[in-house]
Amino acid sequence: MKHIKIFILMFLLVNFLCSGCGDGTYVAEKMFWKANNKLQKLVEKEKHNENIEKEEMDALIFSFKEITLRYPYWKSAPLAYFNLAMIYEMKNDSEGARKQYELICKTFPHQDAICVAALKNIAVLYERADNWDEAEKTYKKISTAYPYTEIGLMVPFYLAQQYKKRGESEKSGLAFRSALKTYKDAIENSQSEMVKIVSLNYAVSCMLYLEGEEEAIAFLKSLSDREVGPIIQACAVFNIAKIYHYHLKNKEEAVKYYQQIVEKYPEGDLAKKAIEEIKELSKE
Amino acid sequence: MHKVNIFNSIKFSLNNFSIVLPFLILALFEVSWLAIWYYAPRPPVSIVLAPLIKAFMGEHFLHYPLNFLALPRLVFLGRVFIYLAFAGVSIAATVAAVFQKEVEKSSVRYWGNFNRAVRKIPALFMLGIIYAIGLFLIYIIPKLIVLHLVGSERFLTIGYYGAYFFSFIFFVVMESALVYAVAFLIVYKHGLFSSIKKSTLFFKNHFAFTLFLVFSFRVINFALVLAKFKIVSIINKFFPFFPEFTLVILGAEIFFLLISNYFIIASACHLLLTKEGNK
Repeated sequence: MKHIKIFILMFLLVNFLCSGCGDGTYVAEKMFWKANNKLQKLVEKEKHNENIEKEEMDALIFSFKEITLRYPYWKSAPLAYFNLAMIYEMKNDSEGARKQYELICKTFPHQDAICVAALKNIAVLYERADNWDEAEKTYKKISTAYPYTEIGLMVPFYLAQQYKKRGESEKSGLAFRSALKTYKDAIENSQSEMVKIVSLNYAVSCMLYLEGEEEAIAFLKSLSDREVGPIIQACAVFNIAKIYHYHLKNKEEAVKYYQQIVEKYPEGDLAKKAIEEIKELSKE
Repeated sequence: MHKVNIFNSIKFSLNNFSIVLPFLILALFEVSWLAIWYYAPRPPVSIVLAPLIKAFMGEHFLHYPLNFLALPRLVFLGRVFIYLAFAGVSIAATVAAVFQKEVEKSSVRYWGNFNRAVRKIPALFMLGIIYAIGLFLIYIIPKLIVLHLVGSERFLTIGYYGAYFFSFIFFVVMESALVYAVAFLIVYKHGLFSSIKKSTLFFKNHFAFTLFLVFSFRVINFALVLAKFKIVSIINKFFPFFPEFTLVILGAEIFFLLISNYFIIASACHLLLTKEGNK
């Protein structure tokens, strides 16, 4: 029996040692997953206009706060702040939500994607509260601090649109011009293909507003003839086709350019989209 | 008379539950294996095992809750190795213990039994290989037949369940035929193939008892295997916030495997010893 006792003791010891003393990442993942699942349920309830108990939201706030306090350096900790802000928004506590977004920017200043998303949400909160001045300031902050992120690239065009909506036509015109310059610079100078593609799409929108279809097509043709890389060229041709299709209602020219994408750039997603557009046009 | 023997054998297994020890050790190996892989995403085990999971299964299986999805496969792999290496010895030690209790009427000498069983390792290992090949064929052939016969994907799931059912029936028959082999090998000192032949003959003569014994215990194991196959659906439906339920299923599987193995081997061996002793 002595041997058996030793065997069982060894078994227990091995299991104890295996459980280890980790950095808490696994426990943080577990806590986050469980809390996140509960949050998804609340979001579903909110979508279906079901009643959400205050206690449910408070319990979730406690869970996410616990994660941010116990595991502040865990790589997904910013997401816990995000979820906290989301719950505050569900509680109609804009101030509480904004504080959480601000904490993200303060605690994780080097995580561009997270910070820019947090700033955008702060701006949206200001807009909802009809505080356009603060919203504008925040958008401008995004544009200055994170110009080449997806949200950062959206901001100049969005601001120009907002000025137009608010009836500030002069300011809007200037903003569109400034945005177009920013996008053109990005197309010329950026090393990132994502930045170039996003900038190209916004540049086309700005040109359509400022200079009209013919100028936009001329700009895109100049791009498609230059050494800007096949993806950007394909994007330029696709935009030409779209202008002929949706703005000028010139079916023949649109099909010609969609066809050009299918033939010249058959590998990319744009070729699939172009085929769909051709099918749609043939039905009309 | 035959009925009395059946219940006597099961009663013997119940009354002498301490003989379970060799299988308990096997189960402890399995639990340790499960524990090691459960702790794989965390230090210190992650230092060794995380790169393996990352390379062969993917990085996401190192994170909660997807790590639980990897466990059934890892436990199965471990079981193959643990059973090939130790199951023969455990069965042989149990057979020897039953012999000491029932025939010699002496106390069980576990250490000596293990030593004697270890000396028979080549034959036990060969028997294990034969058993494993049989198991593999029994699992794969009905599945291949279903795949060949069922054209529509709609009926494939039902077809697979049918295949599992037939696999289980064939498995019960195969295990019933081989269940006495180790006893012939250890107690009556027959050769490997002679033991298999004798075991099959004995099974033929005690068909109902052996089938009943093996079926009644293995059906629980089969249910747990099916539960393991459907673990994601079960968790999603009944325990959406508790992926740890995988551990409950795997733990139950190990526990019921221990119980089944013990009762099947000890009861079958008891019957064999009483019958052969009577001759």
